[in-house]
Amino acid sequence: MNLDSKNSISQLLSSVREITKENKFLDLIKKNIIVLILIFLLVLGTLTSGTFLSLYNLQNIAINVSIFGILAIGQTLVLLTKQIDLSVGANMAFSLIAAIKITQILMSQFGVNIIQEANYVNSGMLTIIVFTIVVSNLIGLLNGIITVKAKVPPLITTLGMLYALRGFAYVLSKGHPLYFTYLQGFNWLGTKILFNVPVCFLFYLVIGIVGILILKYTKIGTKIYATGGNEKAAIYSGINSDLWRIIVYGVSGFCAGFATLIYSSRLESVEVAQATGYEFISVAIVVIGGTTLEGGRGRLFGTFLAAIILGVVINIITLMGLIVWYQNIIIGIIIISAVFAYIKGIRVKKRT
Amino acid sequence: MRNLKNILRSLPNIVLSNNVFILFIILIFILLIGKIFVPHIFKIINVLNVLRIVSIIGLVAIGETIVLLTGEFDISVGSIMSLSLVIGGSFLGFGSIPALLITYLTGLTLGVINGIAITKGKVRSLIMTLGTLSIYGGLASIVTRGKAIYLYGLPYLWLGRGSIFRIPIPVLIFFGISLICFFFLKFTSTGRYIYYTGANEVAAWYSGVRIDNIKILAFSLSGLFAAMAGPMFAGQTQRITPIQGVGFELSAFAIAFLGGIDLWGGKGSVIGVIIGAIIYGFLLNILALSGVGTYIEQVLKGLLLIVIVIIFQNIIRK
Repeated sequence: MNLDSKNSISQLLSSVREITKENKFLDLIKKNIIVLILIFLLVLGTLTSGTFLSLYNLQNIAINVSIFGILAIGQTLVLLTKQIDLSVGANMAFSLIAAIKITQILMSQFGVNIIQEANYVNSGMLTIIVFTIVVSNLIGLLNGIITVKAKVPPLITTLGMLYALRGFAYVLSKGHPLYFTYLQGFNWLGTKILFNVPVCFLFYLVIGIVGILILKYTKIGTKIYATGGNEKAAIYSGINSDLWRIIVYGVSGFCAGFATLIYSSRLESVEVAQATGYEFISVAIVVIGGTTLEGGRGRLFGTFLAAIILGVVINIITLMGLIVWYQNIIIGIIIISAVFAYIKGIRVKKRT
Repeated sequence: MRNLKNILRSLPNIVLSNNVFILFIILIFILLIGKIFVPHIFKIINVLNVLRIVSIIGLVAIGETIVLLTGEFDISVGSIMSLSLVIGGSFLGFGSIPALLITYLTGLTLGVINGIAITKGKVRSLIMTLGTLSIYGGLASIVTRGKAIYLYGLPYLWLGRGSIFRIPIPVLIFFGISLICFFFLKFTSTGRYIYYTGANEVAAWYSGVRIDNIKILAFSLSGLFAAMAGPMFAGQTQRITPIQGVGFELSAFAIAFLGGIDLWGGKGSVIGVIIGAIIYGFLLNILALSGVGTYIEQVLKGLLLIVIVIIFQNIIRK
């Protein structure tokens, strides 16, 4: 090949590159790649299984998506400030079991026993719900305080917390599951369906929209992005980045508490091994949604859609008859390939 | 000859620097406290038992240490152990030695995969090993269909249960490998490059260190050591299960940080990690024998990791 033809090829390549750079259409595709993936998955699901599009299955996906999604919203905030929270799954098991134990002790002061037949909870619903939220929130804040104030890397804090919380859940429940079958109204959150839409999905929508609005249009959002994006600059502009990191962990804990209420309300039970591996799922969702681990980059809307994507993927895997082992492998591959894809250039533009 | 003399002369200095002295005092302190709660702690059978467990966890921790020294994390060691064990275990029909070789080879390969993806694919080690933790763990369950492989009466067991002159085999392997690693890290150029990479990656790159190769080496050693610890652990429990390695990353981190390895890489010594492993082993031993209960052990392991890092980060380093 002579020099001329080499030159002409390189010119051609560079002109192609310029065209694609200026091409609004390609840009649009790159920005909305998540939506395209979602449409592709829906088509795939419809083609591979006859029951995929049935109302019951879609409601099923919606309930799962709301559990994953609420966890992932908290995780997104944590990752935006350049941290990670691996304790959400364990927090889901611990907070509810702890709440039941606290309620049991409180109620026994008034001579009421809330547990009948060894492990059936029969009363004290409101107290249990309130304490679940409080406990999960406190665990989140504790994660934040250890990470920020004692300068322990978030990986170590939350990994240690993962094992500690599961262990505590064992100690509290002695390994027995607890059932809510006799607790009137507890299954409302996880099973109630309004106009063909599960109630918990409506909650997910509300939490998602509120989160998106707060991140996008309020000072709180700017502060969270600034803390993760450039901590020094954030501190010099008077943002208390330590405080925001702790708060973000608290929110993640709150989300775990809310998610476990949906989870247990649907299954009408709570056990120690509840939600094992959900920390992977939440990190996977956030990463698919385009939030990077470097902090300060990403959109909550991406997380919102990515939760639906992962819910659909898991549903398709289940409908194809593959068990949880395959699910773990596929989620692992998704995490790595999503990170890889964003590194290779399909980046979500930084919010300005 | 002169080189050897220099090494021997500098040995006391090396041993005394890098928190090792402090760790030694902590160890003695813990043993004395242990003596109060557990009177028979110094019985030879108990000490050998503790050392057996220490060697298995410690070997994984040595691999983790090398990765930490380069400034990266490897959360997948537990899953590497499980997967290499079950893949090696499915070759037990060909005899114990081929099965062992395949176990080691698998661990090495899995580590290399981690290393290549992290360096060439530019995926952060935290997210990569988080992903492979889940992938390798899932694969391990698929290989045996979730069942355990029982190992009665095989020469394979000797690695975990055998002993030479009353010294358990795992202890010999652990101390042998950590000695090799100690000399490798201190006195070879590749070993020094591992420290440089962790201490200042950019500076190391400018001085001509091939950072990518160093990191791949670190991850493959971590994989290999996790795979080597596997058969010793399986020998103890007499079976291979696909969840054998679950939780090992936690102990490995705890031991490495207890041994004075810097969180952000580039600082720390293997001697510290060995003493750290012994401290960790006796701590768990004391807790178990003083009747704290088995349920709470997991809690303590988790909290121990956090507490160790808090202490080293805020008190000793200042």
